[in-house]
Amino acid sequence: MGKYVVRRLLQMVLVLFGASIILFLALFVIPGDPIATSQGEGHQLDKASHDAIARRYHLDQPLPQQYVGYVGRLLKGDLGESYSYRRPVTTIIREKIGNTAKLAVAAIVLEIALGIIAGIIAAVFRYSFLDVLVTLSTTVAIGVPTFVIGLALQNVFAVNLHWLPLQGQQAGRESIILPAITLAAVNIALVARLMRGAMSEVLRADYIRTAYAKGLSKRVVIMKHALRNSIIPVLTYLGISFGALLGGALITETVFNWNGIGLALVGAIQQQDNPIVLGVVTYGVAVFVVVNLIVDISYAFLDPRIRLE
Amino acid sequence: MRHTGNSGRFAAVALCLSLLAAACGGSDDDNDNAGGQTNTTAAATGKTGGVFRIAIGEPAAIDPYNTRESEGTNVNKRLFVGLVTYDGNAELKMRPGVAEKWSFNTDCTQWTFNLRKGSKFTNGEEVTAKSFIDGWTRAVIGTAASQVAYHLTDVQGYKELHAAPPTATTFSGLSAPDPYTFVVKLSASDCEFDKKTGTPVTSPVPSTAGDAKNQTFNEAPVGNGQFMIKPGTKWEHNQKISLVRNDGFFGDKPKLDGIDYTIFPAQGRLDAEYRAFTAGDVDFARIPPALFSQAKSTYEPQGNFLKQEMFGINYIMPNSAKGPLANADARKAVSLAIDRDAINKGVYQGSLTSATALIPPPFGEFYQASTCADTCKYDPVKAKEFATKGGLTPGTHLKLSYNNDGGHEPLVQAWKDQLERNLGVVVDLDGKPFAEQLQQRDKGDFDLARAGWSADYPTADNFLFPLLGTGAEDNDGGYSNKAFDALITKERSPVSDSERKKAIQDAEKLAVGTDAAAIPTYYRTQYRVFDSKKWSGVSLDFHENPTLGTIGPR
Repeated sequence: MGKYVVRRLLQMVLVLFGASIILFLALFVIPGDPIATSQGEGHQLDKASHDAIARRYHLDQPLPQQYVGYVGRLLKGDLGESYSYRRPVTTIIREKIGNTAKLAVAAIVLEIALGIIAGIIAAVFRYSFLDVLVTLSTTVAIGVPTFVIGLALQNVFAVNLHWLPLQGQQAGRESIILPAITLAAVNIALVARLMRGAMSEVLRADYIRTAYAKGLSKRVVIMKHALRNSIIPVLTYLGISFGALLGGALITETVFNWNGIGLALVGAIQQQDNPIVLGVVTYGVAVFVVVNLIVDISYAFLDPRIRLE
Repeated sequence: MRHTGNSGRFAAVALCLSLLAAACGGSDDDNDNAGGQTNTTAAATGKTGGVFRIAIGEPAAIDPYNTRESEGTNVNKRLFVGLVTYDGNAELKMRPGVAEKWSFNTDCTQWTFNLRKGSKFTNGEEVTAKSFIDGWTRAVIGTAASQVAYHLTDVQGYKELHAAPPTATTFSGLSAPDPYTFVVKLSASDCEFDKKTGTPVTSPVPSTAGDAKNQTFNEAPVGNGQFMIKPGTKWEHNQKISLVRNDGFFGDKPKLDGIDYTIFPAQGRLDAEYRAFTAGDVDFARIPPALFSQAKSTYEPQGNFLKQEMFGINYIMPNSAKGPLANADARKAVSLAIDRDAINKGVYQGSLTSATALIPPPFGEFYQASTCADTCKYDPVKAKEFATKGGLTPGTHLKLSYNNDGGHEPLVQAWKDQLERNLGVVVDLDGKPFAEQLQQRDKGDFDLARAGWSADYPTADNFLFPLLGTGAEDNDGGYSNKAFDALITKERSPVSDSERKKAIQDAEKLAVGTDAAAIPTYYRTQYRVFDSKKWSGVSLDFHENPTLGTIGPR
């Protein structure tokens, strides 16, 4: 087990290293001058000003040297300084990560609660009205793009009914409701479908019939025997999805002006603010790998037959 | 001076409409020496109090050393007053700021500013010539890597100080014979240098400012303006900035107790801001282009809709130096073949104002609606005549350069259709990101280019020389006319006001009317929504931000 974790962590270093090279090349090979872009529609810079700025951001060096410098600073935990805002990228990420995490946790809670319950109900009462309802609504949730769901919710609950704040985080705790639902919508649907499929399969298994035959109540059979055996694929999916959510929800954060790292990334891409792009994506990769590792480890606890080696 | 890549933002306009009729009309001479930076003749009730809530995007900087875009300027101009000011209302008149009066030598290479005594930063320190030397040096020094230092390019010692790494540590062109006399020596003649001393980068700073990397000052600058950062707070990044009135301000005190800036993430902030207004969370907002009609029909009847012409112009830059448009008649044919009003209706929901001059209406007495009235209108028959006269034969290829990151596709497509239909030419669209389009234009690799221009300083000259002067930096169309250059030289020399005005108007008539070296399309009309039940005195200043100095509660 310990050995397994160490090996996975070492793999993670390799993954991060590879990701950084690809990202770095992709960003810096893209045509366009980030200094000119950060100037926006302002006056074109004179050469002296351009040089002074290039020097500040090491853009006057050849690419390989820039990369070595970048990795060197990265190892010290320094992600560089944003071109547009002139503040350390680590500070910017730190300010925003809390918001992204809040949204991710709210979404994952919804996914677990609604998705799993809906899936179980649909599986247990197969072909009933409830099952059809779940199948239909999940089809809609998967089919409709996230931004449409977000805008529709805004229209109904904020603009027309005035029940909930439209956007931003100024209104306090209520602000999170709409973005969390929007962000979770697709995953709730996918979780429900996975759960329904896995559960239906298990419910047909011999040991379930045995359990009933032994006189166990339906509740015990479903919650104890069937659920535990059918939840592994769902759990895998939830883990991956949580990792992705922590990396920043680009669309939802944009629609709701949720001040998280997803929104920061969208803005940075538009402004060619490469240090932020690199920083946020590197961070996202790291979180994703770590969360996956945790999910893999948790298998061992759920299913004693699985051995991590 | 800046080229603008985006006219999809609503362009400019005439503020001398309902609200400010009084202010626009007759306030020219009321307080030349009073040091009032604001115009109190606006239709305000005189009541004080209240906190005005505005939405902005995360500013790039509010510290004067690097304040450059609208959001940062909005905050910065509340905190700092420079030597002169033009921030009251969008009017041509400069007013005294910290400088009570100023003068220049015969060739405009040495400027002397006489500063008022006893004006203070909000930390109690007096504003003296040293405060300006500190502020300018701090911004220009190469290690600061400022993006706005270029305003001071012509000051002696700029090169040495601005080099990377700097070869000097002091700004040799600046001196202070006594604390209230600030002398600026220029390396090149500039008879309009005073106009530059109202930009954020020329603000004075207190001795506690430190260098450009001083984070404390970056996030809570101590200034000398009408407002100050609420004591005990600082710029909370991506959240808010709170200002309160500076009761020690030397000029007209603002009416507001304070200003709360709510910061929305920069991308999509127009939508965010507008929606926040509809939800009652802010008192003032810009309007996303897509929602223009809706905003107009909802808010105009309530008196909550502000329309104002601003200091900008959208135009077509023809290549006057080479190619099929080197002939003035060919350029006029292009101008006549374009139906500005139809495009305005079809593409911009009628939100623009078709232009017949390059110097826009807010320039008041300088504005000449007739500049190109006979060629800046739609007349396909006349267009063909001019095309024949100018040798623009059917089948000629015209390369139309535009920036493809500003939402201009519907506009250039309409131009293409109309030019091809009316003149029989073939228009090749060439869209590039803004920065690359500027480079392409620099090289003269175009026949027509979509162009926009916003003034850095409220001067009519700023709309002529940079765009049309022989060899001028932004004259990418390569227009060159000795008579035009002579008029500019005259207008820039110390002549009487009426002679200057005539020289400017003649120059515009010549280059834009007779020579069609720039083809005006739309003025820069701006629209805002605000809560007129709560607030009075609301209009836009030169920087297109609300006039926070005159806004007061109803």
